[in-house]
Amino acid sequence: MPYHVATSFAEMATLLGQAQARFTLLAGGTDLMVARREQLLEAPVLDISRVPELRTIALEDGKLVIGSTVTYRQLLEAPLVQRHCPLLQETARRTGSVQIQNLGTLGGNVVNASPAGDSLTALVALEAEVEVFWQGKRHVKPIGDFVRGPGRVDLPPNGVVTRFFIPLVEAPWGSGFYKLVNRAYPQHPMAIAVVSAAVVVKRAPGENRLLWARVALGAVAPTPVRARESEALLCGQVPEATCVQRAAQAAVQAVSPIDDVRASAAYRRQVTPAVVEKALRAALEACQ
Amino acid sequence: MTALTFVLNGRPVSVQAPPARSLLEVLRHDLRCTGPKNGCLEGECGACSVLLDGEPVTACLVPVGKAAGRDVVTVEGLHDTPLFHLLAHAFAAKGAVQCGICTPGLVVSTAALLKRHPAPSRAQIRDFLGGHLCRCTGYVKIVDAVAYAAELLGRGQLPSLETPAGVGHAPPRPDAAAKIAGTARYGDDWFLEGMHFLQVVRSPHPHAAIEGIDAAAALAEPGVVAVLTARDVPGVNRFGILVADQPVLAEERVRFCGEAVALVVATSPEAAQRGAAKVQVAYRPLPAVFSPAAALQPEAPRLHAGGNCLAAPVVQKGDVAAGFAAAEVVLEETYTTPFIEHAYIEPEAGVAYFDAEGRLTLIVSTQTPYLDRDACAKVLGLPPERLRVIQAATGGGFGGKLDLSVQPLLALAAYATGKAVKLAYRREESFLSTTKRHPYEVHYRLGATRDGRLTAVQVRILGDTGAYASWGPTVIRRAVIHAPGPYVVPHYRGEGCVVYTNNPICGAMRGFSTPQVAFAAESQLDMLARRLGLDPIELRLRNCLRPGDATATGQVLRHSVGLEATLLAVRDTWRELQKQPLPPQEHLAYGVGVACMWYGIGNTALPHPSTVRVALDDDGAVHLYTSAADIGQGVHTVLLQILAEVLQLPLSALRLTAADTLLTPDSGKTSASRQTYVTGQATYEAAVQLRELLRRHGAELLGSAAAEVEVAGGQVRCRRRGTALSLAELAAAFRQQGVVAACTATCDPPATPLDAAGQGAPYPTYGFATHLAQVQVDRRTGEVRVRRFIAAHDVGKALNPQAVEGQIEGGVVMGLGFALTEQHLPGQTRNFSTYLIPTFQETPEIYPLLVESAEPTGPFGAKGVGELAMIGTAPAITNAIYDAVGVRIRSLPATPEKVFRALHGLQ
Repeated sequence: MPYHVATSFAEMATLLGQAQARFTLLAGGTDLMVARREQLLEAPVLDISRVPELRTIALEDGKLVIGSTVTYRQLLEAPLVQRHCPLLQETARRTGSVQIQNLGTLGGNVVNASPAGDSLTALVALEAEVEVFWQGKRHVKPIGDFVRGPGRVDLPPNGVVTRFFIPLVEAPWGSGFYKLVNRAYPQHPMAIAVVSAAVVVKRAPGENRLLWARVALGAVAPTPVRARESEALLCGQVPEATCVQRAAQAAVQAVSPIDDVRASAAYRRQVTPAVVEKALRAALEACQ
Repeated sequence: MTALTFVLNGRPVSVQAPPARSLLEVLRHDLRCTGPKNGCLEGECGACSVLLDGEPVTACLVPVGKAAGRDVVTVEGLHDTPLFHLLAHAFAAKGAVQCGICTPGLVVSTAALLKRHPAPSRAQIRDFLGGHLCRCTGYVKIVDAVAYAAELLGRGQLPSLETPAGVGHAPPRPDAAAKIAGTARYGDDWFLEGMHFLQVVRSPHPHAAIEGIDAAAALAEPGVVAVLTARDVPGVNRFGILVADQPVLAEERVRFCGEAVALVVATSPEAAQRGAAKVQVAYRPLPAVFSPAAALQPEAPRLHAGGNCLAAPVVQKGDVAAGFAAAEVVLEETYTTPFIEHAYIEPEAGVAYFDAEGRLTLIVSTQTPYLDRDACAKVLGLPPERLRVIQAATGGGFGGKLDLSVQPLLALAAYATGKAVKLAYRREESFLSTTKRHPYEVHYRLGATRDGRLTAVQVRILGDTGAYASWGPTVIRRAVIHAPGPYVVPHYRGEGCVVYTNNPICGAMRGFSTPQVAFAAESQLDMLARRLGLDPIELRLRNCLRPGDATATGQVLRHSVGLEATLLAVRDTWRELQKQPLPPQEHLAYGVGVACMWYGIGNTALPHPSTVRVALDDDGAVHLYTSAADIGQGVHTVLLQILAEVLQLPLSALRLTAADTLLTPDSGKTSASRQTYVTGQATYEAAVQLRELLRRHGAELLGSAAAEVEVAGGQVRCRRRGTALSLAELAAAFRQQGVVAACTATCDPPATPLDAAGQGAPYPTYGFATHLAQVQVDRRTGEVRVRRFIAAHDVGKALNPQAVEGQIEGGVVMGLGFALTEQHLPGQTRNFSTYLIPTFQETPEIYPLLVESAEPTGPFGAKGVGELAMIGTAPAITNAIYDAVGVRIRSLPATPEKVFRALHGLQ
């Protein structure tokens, strides 16, 4: 079966525009080569990992713009990401081995739409927007609308995710992440989350009061979800111990977990507050 | 298919391959570049790591189309670099290589690491190499090797690898260089002229009648040469270790998901797969049974003619009723353990072909070439001498490669088609079809006096043996013998029962069921210590076996009973950790736990002889012939060290031919921690015979008295006159005189059969150990992390202390997985993403302590250690969890969820 490697945006656009059949889009390949090895051999493949525009990280109009085929490795090394979005570095560090980080991409993690996707959970907390290129046009939508369910995203045939927009937050703010796994080492990168939480908080300048907080949960619902009740309890409050605990506790209202090979639904529900509290404390600590 | 071009190891290559095929498959299959190993095809094990434009990636996840125009470097591409020589030196010198299947990938990643961080910390090493799984070493010596390599890199010079070879030293393994370079050939690394490929058609049903097999569509598939079924088996379509009950290919019914039903032979792996998908098997599902308790019910489906109870051994000593009557404290609990997968990084693989003399030859990954040969001969209805089994480099075994997997299928396919054939399991197939560790339910009742003396132990063990017998009968026998632990128990009754079910087959795995019963026994002792207010080491000291004591089978131990010394070895650390417990931080709690263990060396109450031959080659080298399979543990190194010690020769003057049924005498199985002890003793005896022969004849040639003559430094020398003959000169003289300078020795250590009450001396000697774990528990989530581990082992004599440490570290890390993360759930855990074996980052600092309580029947006082190393790890960890947070884990693994539930009193 044909395997096309697009080396420019224009080439990618042309190939997609002329396509007779549905392309399997391949970026890092770390999910597709495991889950859909046979499909890759049978359907036409379009490798988008060499399109320069999709591999760039930039600041534009008060937003951090990250190309969809930016690898975890790039996220870990980019000064712009370190300065404006350490949360994505934290999740990249907690995702897979060095080998996987060299291959895997942010866009791939989003399109794979695993309920436990670490970067995806972070992007939900970051209120990122997704840019989709389809039929010659770019369409932008909130990440929460783009991801529909386990493995399901709002991407038409031969549409391609091109960039993510992450709104910048003015200081003081902080972010934190915690990933509970079944390994004998906390937050082990070589394991899928049992429950994860990504948190961004914004403090009022010169005060201890939080202006707002965003709490996203992974592996507890069909898609990563926001814990709105937790966020409401933090909004406008000074985050003292009881406030933090109450907010963490409220996160269970957002979850609808299932039993799987990693853990029971009941356990996921029970430990959600602890996981949220760890991420929230990390975010508050980082809040400068 | 268009040609794809990329640069491989500095040279442009062009391949015709589907662009979506993985780079790994193209490298291995199309380009015959075997440095990258196929361990999982999921990017989880790291064995296939290569550099893509200078950065490590797992080649299994890279479609080759993505590599087009880019630069790919495998371990082969590093061979000519100074860095490679340095890494090769460091890995060999530090004992970082055992089975070696993970080594080439590690070398590639380490090269990238040292480029990025020329002086990495141990934490940086663990993080960077975290995507490499190793099942042998426990990772410690790999981290040591990388740190050492960085140090050498800084120094810019390579020290000599010349190390003393004799007993007590750590010379490099004879196979280290080839394993590091990626040139050692494992089962899947053999490519034969005109080779065909096999694909097994496996049952999707746990229990079903086979009503018909239609191979017509498969045979019509291009490239398919044959489809074989049970009807094509020329000999006896049954194999098994003690009870031959497993068909090579199923006949009228299948008894577990994954059972082999048909075998497709084709000209390419893809054709074999396509053919297998088209074999039509008509199944009629039958009622299935998935637990031993259910299988013992009268209405349960009968899986074998003799009923579902495969074996039910008993050990009875004294009068347990009287013992419990005398007890002031009685503790009674039930413990459960899950199916455990061996998870060697090399899945089962091999090739078969007819040699020029018409001998059917198998080159396979195995622990036991002779058993393989004899079993395959029966299947084919041939005399064993018509077959030859050669051990390929073997990427880990742990008991799993004591069973037949690919062997009879390869033999059958080669026999039926006359072709050279290869069969290499994919990871999923290995999980699905090969043997596991038995899940046990252990009901444990223990009685003691108030001052902590054990008065009675009563144990009932129910084990799931799965669909076929494999090693089940001996596994359960060893369990009832070892269940009372290494203690003086005046009254004991142990009853075991292993039961057929429609679950995966359970067989031999490191520890041979003693880890399961030690989990129960050592948890009970911990509870007893707490009940009595004694420290757990003191309690064990009051009961531990000492020379002159009798075991539960009535065997009086005379020598090499070093348990007390291992307890004393960890006592100081225990006290120190009690005095200065780490302060609890927020929700984190810390605890310390200990556990003791014992293990009878060798087969239970059966003879298990080893024979070796030692000969003087024409050039004066001394040549050892042994069929002992080195599966990574290092038996070949140790045997050569014994030769070097007796004959006072450097390793360079020794030669080894190993594990080939045509060329080497039967040295028994690599199992039951027996090779160093039994084959080591045979080697010692043969070496002494050869030394005496050399002395006698050398003295004649030198015209001296034999008493004046010694063998040393490659010479036979007269001490009085200073005259000498080199071994090469002696060999030349032997040729002229027709002297055969070859000595054969057999060692079969004493063991007596057990009587009806299970009384007797089932093992010639026992290994003993004490483990201590310090853990951290998160009360709010149940997450456990092992911070520190001390493992004190009585090994008799450490012939190679580095290799012994490697066994201990590897065993402890395997035990860590047993304790915390590993459980095979049939149908759910298929690969390393769901079956979690410990990684670099999970490994705590491990401190092995060696106690040497000499065993007079072993070589230089040595006995075995391989299996002991993991037996007490899990209870040491779960006892530490209790110490930290006050909850008793009675069901393994202690996942965060289980610990959490126990902490919160749930279920």
